Amino acid sequence: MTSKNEKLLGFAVAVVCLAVGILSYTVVPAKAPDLPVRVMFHALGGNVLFDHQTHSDAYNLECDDCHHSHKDGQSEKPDACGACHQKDGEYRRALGEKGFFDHKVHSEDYGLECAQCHHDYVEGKPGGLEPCGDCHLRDSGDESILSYMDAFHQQCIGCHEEMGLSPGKSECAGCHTPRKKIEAFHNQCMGCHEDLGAGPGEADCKTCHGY
Amino acid sequence: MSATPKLTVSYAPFWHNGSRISKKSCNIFMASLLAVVPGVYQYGVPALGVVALSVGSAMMWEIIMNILTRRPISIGDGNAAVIGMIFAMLLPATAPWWIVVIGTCIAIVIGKHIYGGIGGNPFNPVMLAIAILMLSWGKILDFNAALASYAFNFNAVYPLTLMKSFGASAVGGISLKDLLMGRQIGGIGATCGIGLIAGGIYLMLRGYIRWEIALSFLAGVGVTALCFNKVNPVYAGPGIHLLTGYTLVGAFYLITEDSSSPVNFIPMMIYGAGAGILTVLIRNIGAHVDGVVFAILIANLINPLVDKIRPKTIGEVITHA
Repeated sequence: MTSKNEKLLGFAVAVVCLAVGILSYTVVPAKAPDLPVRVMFHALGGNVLFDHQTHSDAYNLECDDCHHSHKDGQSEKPDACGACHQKDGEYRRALGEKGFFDHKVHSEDYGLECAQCHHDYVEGKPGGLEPCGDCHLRDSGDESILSYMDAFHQQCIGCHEEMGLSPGKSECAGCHTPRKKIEAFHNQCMGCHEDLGAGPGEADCKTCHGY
Repeated sequence: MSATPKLTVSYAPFWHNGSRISKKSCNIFMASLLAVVPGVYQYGVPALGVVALSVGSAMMWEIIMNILTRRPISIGDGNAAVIGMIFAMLLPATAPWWIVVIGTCIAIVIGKHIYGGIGGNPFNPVMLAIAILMLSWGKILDFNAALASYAFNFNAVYPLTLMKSFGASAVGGISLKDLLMGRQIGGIGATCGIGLIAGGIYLMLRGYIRWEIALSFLAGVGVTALCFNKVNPVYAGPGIHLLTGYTLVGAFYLITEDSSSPVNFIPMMIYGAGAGILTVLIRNIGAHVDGVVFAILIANLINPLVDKIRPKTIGEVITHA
């Protein structure tokens, strides 16, 4: 083949390849599957490749085994992983704006301790627990986030008891000063007292309020 | 009469043996299809797009550089097409178009033409391009992330990542036969072991690549991996190292590039084996998942030095003629 013919062939190959390449990228772009096959999470400790097939085949897991607690109650389909576990590596704050995250499910169903999630969020304090008050404010304005007081009563107090930390169930005054203690007793204690038939109940005002 | 020493090689007339660069390029191009076609079959149209755009854009950059440097149009020799094809072999099928175009630009402009064109480049142009892309846009060349949307009927985790993160036990279940048949994820033309080996054997038998370099590279990888494995079984054996990542495509299409490799027997053996040893060192105790790219670039660096080990010059130096 002469040099001239080689050059012509070269031009032809270049034009055809460019045309095929441009057409392939524009007409038949790579489309994402309807359901995620594998998901790459960029975690603090490195990238983690999550393979749905391995979890369903090797571990015999059904979709709902993992996706059950995140349903919004309106859709039969499980929520996308990215609804909570963001791909860009940023943690969604606990009890985020949609309130999907459920502490109770994660602690009871998955056996997670608080510190397994709340371990390294404090800037400049590696390994330190995140202060509860960072999320649970007195009034956050977000119905999905419990107030500091409700969070402690519903979620923290059990761990405090187990770990011997203060305040516990018998140390109301640890938080509730005399004035607050009255409010606490009236709002929260009396119901249990009634149920257990112990201590001052609703009909025993005089036990505390003497003449 | 001039007293300048002159080198007498032989006497005229000379006879051209008929070999042409275009013929060599055509053979390498065709041989590479043995590995590329299975890759396109596996990944579909997106892979075809990457390959076509890579070849086309490499030739386009060649023409542009020919015009800018006022040199004859050289796409007829097929070298740019081969660079584009080999570059595409290393990319994931989901590589975005701009990565392909930038990569071929680096390979042709920086890797080849800045040094004067074909035959003048000290580094393999494709290796230079892929190394710059790896350092600049590493996530795009992360095969696990890039191919996450593909469903396969095999364990679709990049074997070298498994090996790097979890040791030999993690890749213990992967059969070498599967790797040979391309049942692994990776570059479009870097996974089908049987196609790469067939193409490599053809090119070696025809003399288009030097068997000394290709085989010494594979021997370097195999022996080093075996040593690591024998000393500490946490490191994978030679089979996995030889059939995963860029090892085979490196042995037959990358390290054998003419301009950046030596021409004498002993230098070729040192060059190939050295790159093979470096590959496994980088994989096992280095920072990168695959060591082929940087191993070959480092070998390119030592090429001029090792090529000084050569036989006595043929001919004689005379002081008068």
